[in-house]
Amino acid sequence: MLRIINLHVSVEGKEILKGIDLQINQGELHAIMGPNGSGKSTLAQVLAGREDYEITAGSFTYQGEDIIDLPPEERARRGMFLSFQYPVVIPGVNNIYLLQAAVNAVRKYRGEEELDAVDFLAMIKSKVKSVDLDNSFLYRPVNEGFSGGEKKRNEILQMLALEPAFTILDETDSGLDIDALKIVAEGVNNFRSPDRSFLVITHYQRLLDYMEPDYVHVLSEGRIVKSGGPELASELEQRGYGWLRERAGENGSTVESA
Amino acid sequence: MTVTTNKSSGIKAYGRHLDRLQKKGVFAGQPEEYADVRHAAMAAFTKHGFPHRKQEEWRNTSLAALQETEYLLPEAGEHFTGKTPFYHWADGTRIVIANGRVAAGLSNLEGLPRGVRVESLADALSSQPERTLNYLSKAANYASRPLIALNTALWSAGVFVEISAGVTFTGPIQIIYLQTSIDQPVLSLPRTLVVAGENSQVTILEQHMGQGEATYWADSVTEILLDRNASMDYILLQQETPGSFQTHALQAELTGDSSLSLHTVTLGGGLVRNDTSVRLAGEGAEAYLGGLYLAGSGAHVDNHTKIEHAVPNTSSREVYKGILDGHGHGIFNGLVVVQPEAQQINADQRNNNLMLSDDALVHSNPQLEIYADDVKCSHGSTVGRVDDESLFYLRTRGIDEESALRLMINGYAGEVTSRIGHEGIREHLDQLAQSWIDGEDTASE
Repeated sequence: MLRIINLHVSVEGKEILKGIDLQINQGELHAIMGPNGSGKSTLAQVLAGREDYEITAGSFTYQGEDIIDLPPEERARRGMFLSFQYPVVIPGVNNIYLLQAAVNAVRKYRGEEELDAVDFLAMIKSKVKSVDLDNSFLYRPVNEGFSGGEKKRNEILQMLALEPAFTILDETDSGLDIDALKIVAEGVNNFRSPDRSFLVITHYQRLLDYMEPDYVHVLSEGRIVKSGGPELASELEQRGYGWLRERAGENGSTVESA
Repeated sequence: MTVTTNKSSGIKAYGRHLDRLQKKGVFAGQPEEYADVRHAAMAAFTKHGFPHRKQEEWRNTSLAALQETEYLLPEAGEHFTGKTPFYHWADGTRIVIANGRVAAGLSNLEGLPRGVRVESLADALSSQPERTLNYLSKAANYASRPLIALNTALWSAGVFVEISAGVTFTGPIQIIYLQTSIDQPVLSLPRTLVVAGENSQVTILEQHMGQGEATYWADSVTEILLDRNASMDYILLQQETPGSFQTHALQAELTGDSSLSLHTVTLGGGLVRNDTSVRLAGEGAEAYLGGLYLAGSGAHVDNHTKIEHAVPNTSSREVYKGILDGHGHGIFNGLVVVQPEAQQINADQRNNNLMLSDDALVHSNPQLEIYADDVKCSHGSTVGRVDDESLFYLRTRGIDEESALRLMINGYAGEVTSRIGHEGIREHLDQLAQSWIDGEDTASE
C-alpha cells in the first residue's frame, strides 16, 4: 500500500526527516509514536502532499506508484486521507457543502456518478450518527465553533464519507476526552478492513488501548529508532522516550526491530 | 487660480440647473415650503462645493474627475423601453425609476395590502405635502453635507415607502434605479424615503444598476425612519457600470426598540462612495450593518459608516467584508460614536479584507469615539490573503485548487449575505457574488 524509502524532508531549510524507511501493507495499522518535534506531523503532511515541505532525498510509493509529484487533491482521489491534528476552520463554507464536493470529486475520479443533494444527504446522515454528531453540524461552517472533540469527530466523518484506502490519523487523540476518544476509535475500528491501511500518529499510548496496531514505530529526531509490535507502546508508556533518544544519538539511523 | 474659477463655475452651473428645472415646471405642484428647502440646499452646496481630499473624510477618494465632467440632468433622460434587466419576483412589489423617470410599465404596485404604500416621491409631495414633509429631509441633514444638499436641491424622481403601524410585509419591496447608456454623461439623483410605523415589519431591496457602457453620476440619498418597535431588513445593492460614479448617502434614524438590519452589497462599479449613517435614538434600538464590497481593476469602493449611540441600552454590530482583486481599491472607514449619556451600550465593529492580487489596495480605518464610561465596545480589522492552510486542507479532501479557492472566497462573501432574512434575495446575491468571483478568476488567468 505504502512504501517509504530513505525519506529526507526539510522545512524552511531545516532538515526534519532524516531518512525514514517504512512499509505498510494492505489491511495493516501502523502506529508512529514519538516525542514532540520528532517529525511525526511533517511525515503526515508530506505524505498528504504539502507543497512547501521539501523532499531532499528518498521517495515513497503509494499503491506501487511514485506519487511525489502528484498534488494533494490527486492523492486524495486515489484514496489517501489525512485526518488533521489541527482541523482548519473554513468560514462561510458549510460542512455538508465540503463533504459533498469532496465525495463527488472522488467519485468523479473513480468514474462513478456524482451524488445529488438528496442521495448525498441519505448517505451522510447515518455516518453523522455513527460519530455521535448532530445533523446540525452538517449545516455549520466547517469546524467553526466546534469543540476539540467535535473537530476530530468531524475528521472521522470525512474519512467515513470518502472511504479512503489509506488513512493517516495525525494526533487524532489530542484534545479528546475519554468518551470522544472511544467514539473516534470505534469509528476507525468499524472502518478497518483487509483492504484498508492506516498510519496512526500519536504521542500517547492511550489511543492504542482502543485501536490495536499491528506495528508500532518510534520516531525520534527525524528517524525511526525502534519498531515492534503492540507491546512496544506499553513499554514507551512506562519508560518514556528518553532512553530511545540516547540510543538514536549513539546509533545514527539504525533501526532495531523487536 | 484658473482651477478655482473652473470649479466655482461648475458649481454655479448646478445652481442654474435648479432655476431651469423650476422654470420648466419639473417641480410643479410641489409645496412652496419645499421650494425653499431646495434653494437652501443649493445655497449649502454652493457654499461648501465638492468635497476634496484635504478633508479627512475624503482623504482616499477624489471627486476631481467627476467635477471635470459636464453632466446632463435627469429630465433629459429618455424613457426606458427595453426588457426588464433586473432580477425580480413574479408578482413581487416593485417600483422602477429608469433614466430618472418612474417606469410604470416595469413597476408592479398591484395588490398592495392595506397599510403598505409604495409610490413616486414627487407625486406624494404634490398630492400629500403635509404627510410627506413630515418625514422628508428629517434624517438627511444637508446643511454641512454638499452631496446630500445637491440631491435635495435637484432630485425629481424618487420613491416613498410607508408601512403603517402594526403591518408586516416582507414580500420584499423592490426599489430599482436603472441607468441605461446614452451619448452623454448623465447626473441622476435617486431619492428614497422609507418610513416604518410602530410595530411594523418590512423587507426592502433598493437596487442601483447601470447598463452597458452607461457613464453617469448617481448622487443618491436614502432616508430611513423607524418608529417604535419597528423591524426592518434593508438591502442596498449596487451594480454600477465601470464608467460610473455613485455617491450614496444613507441616513437611518431608529427610535425605541426598533431594529434595523442593513446590508450594503457593492459589486464592482467605477467609483463608489457610500456614506452610511445610523442613529440609535431610542432605548432598546439595535442595528446590524453588513457590508460586502467586491472591487477589481478600475473599481474604487469607499464605505464610510457612522453609527451613533445617542441613548443608553442600544446595540450595534457591524461587519464589512471586502474582496479586492486586480488593481481594485477598497476603503473602509467605520466610526462608532457613543454619546455621554449613552451608558450600557454594546457596539462591535469588524472589517475584513481579502486580497486576491498584489496590486489591489485597501485602506481600513475602524474608529471608536466613546464619551460614556459604562459601555462594551470592540472593533478590529484585518487584511489578508487566501489562507494556505485552509487551501491545503480542502485539497486533501480531493477538491482541486481552483475549486477550493472559489469555495473559500464564496464562503467568505457568504458570511455577509447569510445574515439576510429573505431567502430569495440571499440566493440572488450569492449568485451575483459568485459570478463576480468567477469572472475575476478567469480575468486574472
